This record gives sequence, C-alpha cells and structure tokens, in this order.
Amino acid sequence: MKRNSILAAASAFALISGSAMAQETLKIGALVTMSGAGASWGNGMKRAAELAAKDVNKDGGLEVGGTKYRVEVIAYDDSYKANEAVTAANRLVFEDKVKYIVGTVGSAPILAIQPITEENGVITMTLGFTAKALSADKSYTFRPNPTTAEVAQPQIDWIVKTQNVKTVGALFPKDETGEAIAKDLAGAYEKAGATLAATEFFERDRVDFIPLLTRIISQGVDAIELDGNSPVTAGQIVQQARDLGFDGVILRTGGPATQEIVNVAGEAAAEGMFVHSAFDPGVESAKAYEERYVETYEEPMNGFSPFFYDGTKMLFQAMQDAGTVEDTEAVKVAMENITDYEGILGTMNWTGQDRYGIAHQLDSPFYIARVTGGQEEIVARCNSAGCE
Amino acid sequence: MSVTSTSTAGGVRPMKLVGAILLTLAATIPWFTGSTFHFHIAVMVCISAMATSGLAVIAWVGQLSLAHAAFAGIGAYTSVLLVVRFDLPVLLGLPAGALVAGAVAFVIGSPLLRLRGVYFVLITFALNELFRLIMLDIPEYSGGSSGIAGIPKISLFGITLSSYQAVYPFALVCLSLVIGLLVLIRRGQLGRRFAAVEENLDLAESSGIPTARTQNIAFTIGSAIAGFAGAFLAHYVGFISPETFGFQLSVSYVIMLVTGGRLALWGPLVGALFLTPLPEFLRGAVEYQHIIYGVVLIAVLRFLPQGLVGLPAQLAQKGGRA
Repeated sequence: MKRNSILAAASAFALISGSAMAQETLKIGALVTMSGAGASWGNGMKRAAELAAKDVNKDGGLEVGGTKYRVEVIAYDDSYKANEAVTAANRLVFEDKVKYIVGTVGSAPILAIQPITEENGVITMTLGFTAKALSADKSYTFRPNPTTAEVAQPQIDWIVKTQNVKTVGALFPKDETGEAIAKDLAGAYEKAGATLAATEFFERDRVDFIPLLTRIISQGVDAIELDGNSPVTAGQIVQQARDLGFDGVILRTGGPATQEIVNVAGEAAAEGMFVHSAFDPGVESAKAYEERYVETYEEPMNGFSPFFYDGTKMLFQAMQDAGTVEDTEAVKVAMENITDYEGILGTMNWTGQDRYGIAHQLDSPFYIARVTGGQEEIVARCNSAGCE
Repeated sequence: MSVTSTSTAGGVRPMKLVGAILLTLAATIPWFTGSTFHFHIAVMVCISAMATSGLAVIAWVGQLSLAHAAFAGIGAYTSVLLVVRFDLPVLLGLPAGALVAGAVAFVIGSPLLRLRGVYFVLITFALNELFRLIMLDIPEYSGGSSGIAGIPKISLFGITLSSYQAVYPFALVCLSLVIGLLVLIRRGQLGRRFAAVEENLDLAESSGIPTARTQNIAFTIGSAIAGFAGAFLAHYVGFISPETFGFQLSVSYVIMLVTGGRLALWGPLVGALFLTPLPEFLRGAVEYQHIIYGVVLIAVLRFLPQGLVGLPAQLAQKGGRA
C-alpha cells in the first residue's frame, strides 16, 4: 500500500513536471510611455497587451506548432523620449530576448528604435503617427491604430459641411507627432473648403494655454481643433478655451480621448464637443472590452487600447498560422496575410500600400461622436471613403 | 575647497589604488557577462563620462554651465551634417564636432563669462533653450522635430563598428583620451591657474592671472569635449533630434558631476558609472522610479558632500577615528 502511494506520488510528480516542461514562456515587450503626458496612451497599450496575454494564458497558454506558450508582458517606460526608448529597446531585444514589441507611443521613439528592431527582425506595433514609421524598408513595423492621415479627411468633410465651419484654430505640441498632424490637418481642411487659419505650437509639458488660446480666439475662428494633443492636455485646452468665453465648435478629429477630456475639463466645458471615436458602444464586443478594462484597472479606458488588444490578438494568430514564435520573418508574412479579422472593434484589414509603400496600417471603422452629459453619442459612422 | 587640495590629500593612496582596480574591473564587466545590453550600457557610460568630464573642466574655474547639452548638440549636428552631406569619414566628423562646439564656446564665452554664479547658470540655461528652438526652426538642417534618423555608424579606416561589442573598445579609448587630457590639464600650469580662479577670483586676478582668459579657455575645452561626446552619441544611437539635447540632458550632466564629485578628477567618470545604469534598475518600477532616483540622489548629496569620489577618504577618516 505504502509502495503504491509512493508510486502514485512519483507518477503525479512526473506528470506535473512533464506538463510544466511542455509549456514554454513567450515574452512580449511593451515599450510605452508610462510617465508624463503620454502615459494614458502608453498604459492603454500596455494593458491591451496584458489583457490579450491573460486571455491566452487562461486557456493554458498560446498553442503554436504543438507547444503551449505562457505569454509574459515585459513593460518598460520610455518617458516619450527617443534616447530612453533606444536603451529600453536594447534591453528588450538583447537582454530579455523579446521578438515582439508593443510600442512605442511617440513618433520620435519609434524612428529611433527601428534601426535596432528592423535589423534584429523584431516585430513592433507602434502608435506613432508619423508617416515615416511605415515604409517598404521597415517591414517588421505594423501600426494597428488609424492615424490622422487615415481618419481626418472624412471627419473634417462632415464637420465642415454640417457645422458650417470656415476657419479653424489649433494648438499642437512642438514635436514630430504634432507637426505631422498639423501638416495633415491643414491639407484636410483646405480640401474640405475651410482653412486652418491659426496654429500655435507649444512644449508638451505646458499647462497654461491662455496666451495661445487668446491669440487664436482673437482671430475669430469658428472652431478649435484638438487633434495631436495628449488626452490630459486636450482637456486643459477645452477648459481654458471655455473659460475664455469661446462658444464655437471644439472638435477632435483624431486620437480617442473623450473620457480623459471630460475628466479634466468637466462635463459642462466638454458638452457639445465633436470627437473622433474608435468604437461604437453599440457593438457588444467593444463595450465588453471597455467594461473589462475599467473593472481590471479601475481607470477609464483610453480609446487606443482596443486597437492594441486586437493588434496583439492578430499577432498571436499570425504566430499560430506561421507555426512558430521564433521565426519572425514567417510570423510577419502570416500577419500580412490576415484578412477580414474579426476584432472587438469590427472587421479589420491591412491597408497603406499606396500611402506608405507597405500594407502595414490597420483599417477599421470609426465614428464621429458628440459629447453629451460626459458621454459619447455617435452622430456619424465613417470609413476611409466618408462619413454619414 | 581648492582643486589641488583634493587631488593631493594624503593617506588615501591605497584607497585610490583600490578605486583604480575597481574602475578597471567595472570596465571589463560586459566582456564577462557577454550581454549585448551590458555593452550598450557600458558605451552609454563612456559617452556620459566624456560629456561630464567637459562639464568638470568648466566647474574647475568655478562656473556651472547649463548649456552643456547644447554644445553636445552642436557637436552632434556638425558631425552628422558633415558625414551625411559631405561624405566626410566619421573619424573626422567626431573631432570636427568638438572643434565647432569649442569655437562657438570661445566666441560666446568672453561676454558670457563676465557673469558669475546664478547669472551664468541662468544665461546658459537660456542658451540651451535657444539652441533647441533654433534647431527646431531650421528643419532643412536639423530635421526639425522629426530629427535625423539612419545616421551612419562609427567606422575606422573603412571598418564599420556595427556591433556594440565593436564600439565599446573604441568608446573606452576615446574616454581614456578625454581623461588623459583632464590629467594633463590638472597637472600642468593651466590646472593650477584653474584652481586659483576657482578658489578666489579676485586674488587670482591680483596675482596676475588673466582670469577672464583662463575661464574662457576652460569653457572652450569643456564645451569642445561635450561636442565630441555629442557627436559620438549621434553616430552610436543613429538618431538625433533637437529634443535629444534639451535642458534635461544638461541637468543630467550636472547631477552626474555633483554626484561623482564636482572638483575631483575622477568625479565625472564615477558619477556616470553610478547614474547611467541606475535608471535601468528602476525602469520596470514605473510608479516608484522617480521617487527612488530622487532618494538615492538626496542620500548621496547629503552624506557625501564631496561626491562618490570622496567616499574612500571619508571611510579612511572614519577608520582612523575608530
């Protein structure tokens, strides 16, 4: 009897250790901004990767080529700085040996780390809005979120037409992201028959916008555009513009940030704003993700987060399709071959061949919402062809 | 406190030997671990130590420059533009960066160095911002806020140092040359003049030392070293933008200098060796990294007023008392 129990214990131990050996760890880097003004974007991205990892780990790990991988997310802060991002990327690639990175948030950081990631075949999924992030010679970089270049024109056409906007003022951070967006928007407004008449650039850590807003408002603009500003900064601009007595249209044609804007500016100041929205709360899966996010992290969800959740899930599918986690060239090709992916935000496809020379830009439906009582209320549904 | 008194303090020679052995051992860590990331950190330590050494030379005449990052930036942009636009070899771009940064410092130095103390600190702070804003406004040369990406890597006589393992020995050689220059200055007549100016400007002036010229020489040498370090950084990282050389970088150099030892010869190296890897230990602990960094700095400044370099002397003193 005693011998039998020893045998049983030994076999149980062998079974446990056997199954433990069969499961390996797949490390995914999250090189995002977790401190400073861009932190709400960075946290949204990091948590998206964590939630996607949790999903597969819950089922015993991600099964690729007959092996189960427990997904581990290693997160480093780049403080929205190129040099910090380079050091963190070096650490992820050479020390932690990751082959997949969710990040970066900023445009300058992604341009700075690409020499490392592209040379070492590390797949990155960036939020960086710069057009230079995607090109034919940067084949390991993907962008799961739409940028101003994708969403601005249809939304601006709609706003100009329905709100009778002729002149627009805007404030942009004085960096790569801000300047790229300013250029895109100026062209988009002109095409829509309006003008971006007054623009001001400022340092990203600025909190007092009264002088800049006074100059803009004195030019008699019909609307103030907030695209390109971090969620918290956008909230401060809304509040200060309303404090100065601006009663025209305030709009944000890119970069989901409504919840943060309402939190900072207050419901009254944000009332009636037109905002870009990444998802329709009417879509059950999107709503469920938001609820899960809020429940898990006890913070409002940044609108970019669902894109990176879908992006990470697509990456997992690409690994499964390629049957490998090691050969990133194969995973990259499998990722490119994914079509009509049913994500939480809707049906996704890769686009961007014409614009960037490589189809690594995710195309997804988007919406224009009006802020009512602190909540988004969808007023137009859009795709790259237009809004209605 | 005079420069000479720190360097010739007796009774700490064995400690100095131990320090030298520890520094040598620290330099060999990457080869022991073999980690590419450790090589990267080691190269960054060398670059920071070079730049901070430049700041130390300026500190030796009693001035604190907050425009040090701007001079690093001038060196970086000079080298990058010469290499990218005029196909100059990187090996010539690096000293060219130092020369231009030194020349700019020399020209603006004589009026600026009439200011002392907080006024000099403020004007150099303004200079650093001015540099950044000018660079942002001339995108045709600086790349604007997009910066310049894909900068050619360092190459020596046709051999490109493409791996971190290959760059590190070159970085060590450059750092040794910079420290060698510091030693030469310190031991020579110039060093004694620097010390006299730092100790008491009026007394030095009345002793016949041309104080204005002496300070300008220190400012020029220090800024040229910053230019060299900036150029090295640009070719090593492969990306620069005006933001890279912002005010925060100047502050980091000041913190490294003060933490290591403001007037000590080895202060810049020790400061860089301590503070460059420190954020790496804290990078994962986002919520606490700034607090921990602050506490460590306060502790060093509170308990080691002469910087980390003063630690052996302080220990020896305590040992003697016991």
